[in-house]
Amino acid sequence: MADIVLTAVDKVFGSDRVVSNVDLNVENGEFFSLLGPSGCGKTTTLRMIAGLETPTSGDVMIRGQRMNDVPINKRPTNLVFQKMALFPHLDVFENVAFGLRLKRLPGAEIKRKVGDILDVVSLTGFEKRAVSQLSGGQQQRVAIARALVNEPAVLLLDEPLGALDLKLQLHLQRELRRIQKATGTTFIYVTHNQAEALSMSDRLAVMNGGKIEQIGTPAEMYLKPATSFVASFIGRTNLIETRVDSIDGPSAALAVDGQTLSIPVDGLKTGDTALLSLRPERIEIRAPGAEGIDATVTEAEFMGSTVLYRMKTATDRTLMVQALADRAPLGQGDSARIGWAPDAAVQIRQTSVAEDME
Amino acid sequence: MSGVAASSLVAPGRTLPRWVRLALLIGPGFFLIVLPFFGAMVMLGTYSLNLRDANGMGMGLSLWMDFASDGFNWSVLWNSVRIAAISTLIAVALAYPVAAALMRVKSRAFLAFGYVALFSPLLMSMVSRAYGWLLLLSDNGFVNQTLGMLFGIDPIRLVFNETGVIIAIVHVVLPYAVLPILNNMTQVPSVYREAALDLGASGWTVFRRVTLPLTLPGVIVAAEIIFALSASAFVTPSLLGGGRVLTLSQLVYENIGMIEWGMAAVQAIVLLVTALAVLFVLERVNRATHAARES
Amino acid sequence: MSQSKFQMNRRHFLAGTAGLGLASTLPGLARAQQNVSVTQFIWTGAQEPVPRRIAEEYVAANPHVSIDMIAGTNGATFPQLQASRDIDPEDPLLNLGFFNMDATERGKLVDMWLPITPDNVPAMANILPDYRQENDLGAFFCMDVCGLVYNTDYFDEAPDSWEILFDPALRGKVAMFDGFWPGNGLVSTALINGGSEDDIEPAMAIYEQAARDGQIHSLFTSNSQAQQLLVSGEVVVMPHFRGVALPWRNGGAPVNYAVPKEGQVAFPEGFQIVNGSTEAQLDVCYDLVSKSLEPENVLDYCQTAYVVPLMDNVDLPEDMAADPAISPEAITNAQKLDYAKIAANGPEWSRMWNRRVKANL
Repeated sequence: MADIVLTAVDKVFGSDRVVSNVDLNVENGEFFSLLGPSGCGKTTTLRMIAGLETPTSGDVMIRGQRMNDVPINKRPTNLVFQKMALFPHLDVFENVAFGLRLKRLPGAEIKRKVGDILDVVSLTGFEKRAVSQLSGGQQQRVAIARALVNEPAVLLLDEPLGALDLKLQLHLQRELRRIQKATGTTFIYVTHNQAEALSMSDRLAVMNGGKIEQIGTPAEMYLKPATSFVASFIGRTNLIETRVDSIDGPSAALAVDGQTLSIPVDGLKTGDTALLSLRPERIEIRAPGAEGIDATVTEAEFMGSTVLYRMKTATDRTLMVQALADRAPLGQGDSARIGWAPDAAVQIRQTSVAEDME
Repeated sequence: MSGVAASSLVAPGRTLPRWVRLALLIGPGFFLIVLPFFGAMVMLGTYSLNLRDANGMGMGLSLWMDFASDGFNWSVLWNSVRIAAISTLIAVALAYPVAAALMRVKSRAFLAFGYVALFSPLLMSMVSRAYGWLLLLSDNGFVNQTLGMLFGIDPIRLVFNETGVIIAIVHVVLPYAVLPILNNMTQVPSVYREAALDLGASGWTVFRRVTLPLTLPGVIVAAEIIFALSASAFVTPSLLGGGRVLTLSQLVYENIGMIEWGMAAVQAIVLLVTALAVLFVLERVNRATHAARES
Repeated sequence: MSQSKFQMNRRHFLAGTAGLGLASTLPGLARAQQNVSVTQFIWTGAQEPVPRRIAEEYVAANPHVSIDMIAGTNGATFPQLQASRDIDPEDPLLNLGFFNMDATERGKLVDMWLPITPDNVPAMANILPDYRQENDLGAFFCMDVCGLVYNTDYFDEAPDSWEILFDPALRGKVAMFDGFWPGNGLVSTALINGGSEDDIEPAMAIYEQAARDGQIHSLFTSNSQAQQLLVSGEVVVMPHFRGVALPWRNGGAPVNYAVPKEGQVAFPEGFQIVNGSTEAQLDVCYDLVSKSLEPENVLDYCQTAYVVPLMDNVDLPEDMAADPAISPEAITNAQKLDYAKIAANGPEWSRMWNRRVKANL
């Protein structure tokens, strides 16, 4: 059953359409991410679910109830803010107990629930600490506990790890995943960090210019990006425009620098132009003389387990090539033979909104 | 030629000594504020101890004994403190919603109007302001006439008593109360309010449990300023009190006029110490609210 | 001795070089005298224009003289003057000032004034003998009178006795000037009721009772307050100055001044020259006083400030001569208070006034 359903949701600020015709279903118990660059409308979408913004048009449904006119304090959602927003005048216990006290639960029950949730976020014993005495990671876990203790139908998280250092981010990503599985709560997670979204989410939506570009599992998004924006935003890719040489049953044959590629025909005709995404790791560096084309290294970026090359072919095309760093890497100016399997590329749509990726 | 001039301008390592720079920074303020204040305090002290022996009473604590042994002085001091405390409470209570409203105003024109209205009391001389209050609040004044027309009641004494004095004091100190509160409010991110709402709080609960505690330091600063201003208010009680509102500041003025400088000094010091004591207590409260946040 | 001589010499030397410098730049003033700067204190309001005019005329005729004006009240200015002389007796806040008897008596206690004798100011001889001061400390050439100022809409007939202030029919409709009345008014009431400057109790008891009975609407502290109270009818009668009330009346307010049959309170006003002024400043001060005491200037002052001349060489115009408040009988009949005793008793009376009258309002 879908916990959250957005139908044709628009949000306009003045003359600015920041969210445009968004449709979204988030299933119960799902870890769902909204991924996109800053200004893409993901946070506004989240705030409309939370009740901090009202949609200009369209419907927000939570567990089958239309929520457009329900104020924030009456919605079965809780929000973890980017800036944590822990109350500085309250200690850890009182921060976490804030929502429970508003429900006028008995003291003993509050104590038990707060104790339980602090256990979940591994902060037992921190009850009497002042917020300012906690590290950034501890503060973020308090913020999560403060939201989760209210047992919301959906927990909304607005870039909660953005302010933390990388190591802590990685640690808390796993923690968040564990907490989500332990509580079974539906999470909607807003982030601009594609690695974070890929590693944590059951499904994710990539947003760009107020619109959803694609929704899918992390694998789908990476392996079968629908648009040039998604292909470039999630991981790296070579975007190549080329002509269909021939149609052979369900497959269309194309060539890039003489190297053939085959994609599903999908309405293409001979002579049509297709936009392809060819991931750098699908391009192989082959032995001299093997099948393929020659290319020269113009830039080599050592990344640990792999090396990312930028290589120029005889037709002056620059391709990103990612190879395992299992042998002496090539240097600038070195030549090598490169090639790819016929199914290495996928066809994508050109994204209408131009977006500067790097 | 120009190269030489430029190099001498940026001559490295040739800055003034640190103490000189510090002295230049605090010097003007020191000479303008601190020095006259301490000078005045020393003078007051010598007068209160009758060190100049102006009236042949002999040096010593006799003036202090005179002051302390006279219950009238204490009742006047209590008047000063009570009027200041009531004015402070009312001014802060009025200033808080004003500050909150100014925070929310988006229209620049309306905001400008709000500030002008807020600061208008400070643009008037104290005397003409007091005269305006007389016209408004006297038995035949605008307020009583309106009340009489609407409800057919006899005039209520709104001036020439403590009520009028407090109304006029609150009027003039209001901007001093709004500013620190407003300043504090702008420093409290709206995300706290959003977080409390998100956790299920109603507007009132957000105010009581989040906004008010977080803006309490501003409220306390406002209370400190206002208490100090209204405890030492002199023109307003003497013009609008009608002789019924005796404050220590007026006794000080009266004694200065009669060249009873020793007693004036004693009373001025008592007033100052009282105000400082209240400020000290408020400051302790302020510290406590901060400490709760950091300990 | 040599030191003071050196300073004198140096001062003359500096003045001389300054004079030379001035002479070389301003050929028309080649005979420039030593520059003198004098500070004169005047009363604000109706008392301002005449002394300002006289000072301007004097400076125009004597370019080496500059005159700074301080406009204020006795109550505020006298303490400042005394403070300035406490700090440096040779550098008083002001050199020439307009003062009442109250400030005059306080000043005598601290050797504040210098005599203004007929030798320095010949016109002193024209001041009425009753108002010449002991040792000529002060040139009291005019006086204001304090009587009953009342609302003409309320009274069909002008009140004629100080008793009206305590008439139960006027409960809550009487006001007084706080700060002034506790001194002068107490003595006036005491004199009528068997007391004196040495026995203030009869008056104090009357005012205490009036306060307890709710007779007193309020004690005001400014003339604009008094005007507002009286014009609105909230207060119908008050003891106040003729010189303050007549401008209101002439401005169209329903207010008039009445002479009580027990006598108005005389309130002499005049010049004092401040001890510690330099010889050059004193010369200017004497000149200014002489000029001010010229009959036409006295008359001008008395007409603009609504006060009564105390000179034997001033011919009153008809309208003034016809005014019962200025008649010779009224002036003879006026209560002349002993301001030395008022000044001496002031602090004690003020203490009693605060506790027995104000505390019971």
